[in-house]
Amino acid sequence: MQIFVNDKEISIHNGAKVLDVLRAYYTQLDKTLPKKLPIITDAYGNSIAFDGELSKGSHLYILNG
Amino acid sequence: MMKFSTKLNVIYAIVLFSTSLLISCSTSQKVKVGELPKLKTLEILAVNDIHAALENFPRFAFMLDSLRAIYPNLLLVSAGDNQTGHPANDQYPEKGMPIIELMNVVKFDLSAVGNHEFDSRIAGFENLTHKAQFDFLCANMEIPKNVNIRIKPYKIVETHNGLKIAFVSFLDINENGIPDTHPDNVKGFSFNDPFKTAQEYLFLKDSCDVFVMLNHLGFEEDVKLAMQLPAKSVDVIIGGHSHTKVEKDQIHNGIRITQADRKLKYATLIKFTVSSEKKVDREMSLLAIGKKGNSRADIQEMVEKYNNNPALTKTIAIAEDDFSNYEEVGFLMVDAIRMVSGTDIAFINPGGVRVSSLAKGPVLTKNVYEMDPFGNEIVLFNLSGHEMRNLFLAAFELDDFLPIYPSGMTTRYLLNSDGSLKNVELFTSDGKPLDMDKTYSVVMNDYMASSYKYEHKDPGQGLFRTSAEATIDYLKNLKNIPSYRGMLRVEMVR
Repeated sequence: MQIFVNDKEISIHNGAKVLDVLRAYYTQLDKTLPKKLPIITDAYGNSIAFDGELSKGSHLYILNG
Repeated sequence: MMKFSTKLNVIYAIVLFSTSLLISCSTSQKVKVGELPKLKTLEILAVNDIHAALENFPRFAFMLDSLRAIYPNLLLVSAGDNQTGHPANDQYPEKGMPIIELMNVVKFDLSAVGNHEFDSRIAGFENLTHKAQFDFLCANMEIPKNVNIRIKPYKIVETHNGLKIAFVSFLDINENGIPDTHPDNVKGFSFNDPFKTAQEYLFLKDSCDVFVMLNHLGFEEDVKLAMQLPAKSVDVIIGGHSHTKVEKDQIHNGIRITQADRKLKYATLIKFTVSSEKKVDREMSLLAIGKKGNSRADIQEMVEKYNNNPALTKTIAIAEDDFSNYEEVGFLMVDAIRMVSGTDIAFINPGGVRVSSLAKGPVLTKNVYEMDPFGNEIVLFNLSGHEMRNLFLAAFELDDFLPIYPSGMTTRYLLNSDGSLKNVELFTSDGKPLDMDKTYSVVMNDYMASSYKYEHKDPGQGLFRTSAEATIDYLKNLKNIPSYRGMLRVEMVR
């Protein structure tokens, strides 16, 4: 499924959670996931947990990563 | 004389009440004194995605009692995914029963059906719905005739002061047309589009004073739904699934949407005021349950009993020999996920194996959680031999120059003199070169599925099952674990 992280489209397995998408996002940038995980919000400014479940087309924003 | 705990409840309730007055997000409007209409009030406490958070339940129960001291007719609801996330609950002989018993004791009124409610399989969930002393709701699901599961599409609750509250619930379905669970867990069920189905239940608005959707769709999907419904047609959507912490007003198309993170870290208190003209004002406060604080002693006792669940210290299989290094333990784990998934091949990353030994003799459930403590889920891919080689090449450096543990095949890593990887050769289990053009079904954990940058066409499909649970099931079935001593599936050649 396609998820958007900081408006960048990430292709990830169906059923992926927020943490999976973050890992994939950093991998796409040739970076590793920071040990201190960043704060993640949705498109409406609500914070989301790393084990949050996602639907196709969800938007995530990294606040301090 | 008032009991000490009751006094504490009242003090806590006053603090909560005062705090909620300060931080509540209100949509009510001021009216002049003397013009006050006859008002009726209603309070709902909502949680979501409890995920068997047994440890937080005693504090949640204390907070709940405190709120009930102020609002004796408080309705208590869950927006689904009560299940899965704690070994004492998930490995309980009657899988999932501890959280249902706790919800019964604190008197939940309703729960949405979340995708993880199906984790106890159809017969298990069917049983849990009958043991629950509250109703499960889901309006976009069709139940097979041979399944006697107790789920209603909606429920109208009448309060002590004569208010009628209609609750209806919708469950998220994925691209495969089912909720996020293993297909076997919903065999025979059919699921309808929640957005279309929601339009069919708008008639409830006319049969009640307050109309609530208790959904398990995810926050962004709840917003999408609110935008598709007639403006202000629903008073509140209480949501779950995305583990979203809604702290501030989220009102879309005149419909308030709430969600309270997950695992009983927070709860949302929603207060309604209904005028005689049926005008509904509603406000919300997100209440922290917190990591410390007062807890209800009887609930604490129940949780301790569940944590001493004999199932966790039960022998699930007998190891016929000692396992004396990471490779041997890793090969056992990777065999388990391959056999349980029924695929051609399986992989586990070296960091996914957390113990380097397993003694000959009884193997307990808790040993598996020690080997594999991460809660990683299994993901299924269809990969060609070339794509698998791409994966091995991409993973080596990220995995600190350690090889991946395979099942259903073997590998030979060809290293340069500096230890870097030149190539990986792939073989069948009996040592023949693997057909690199053929496509194989492959499972791996979700860490591997999302961490390696390699070329492959299939984005993968989560199987919504942890590798630890798969290993437990495999070992229970296997009963006697053969020796893995000296097993060689990976060759490193300089």
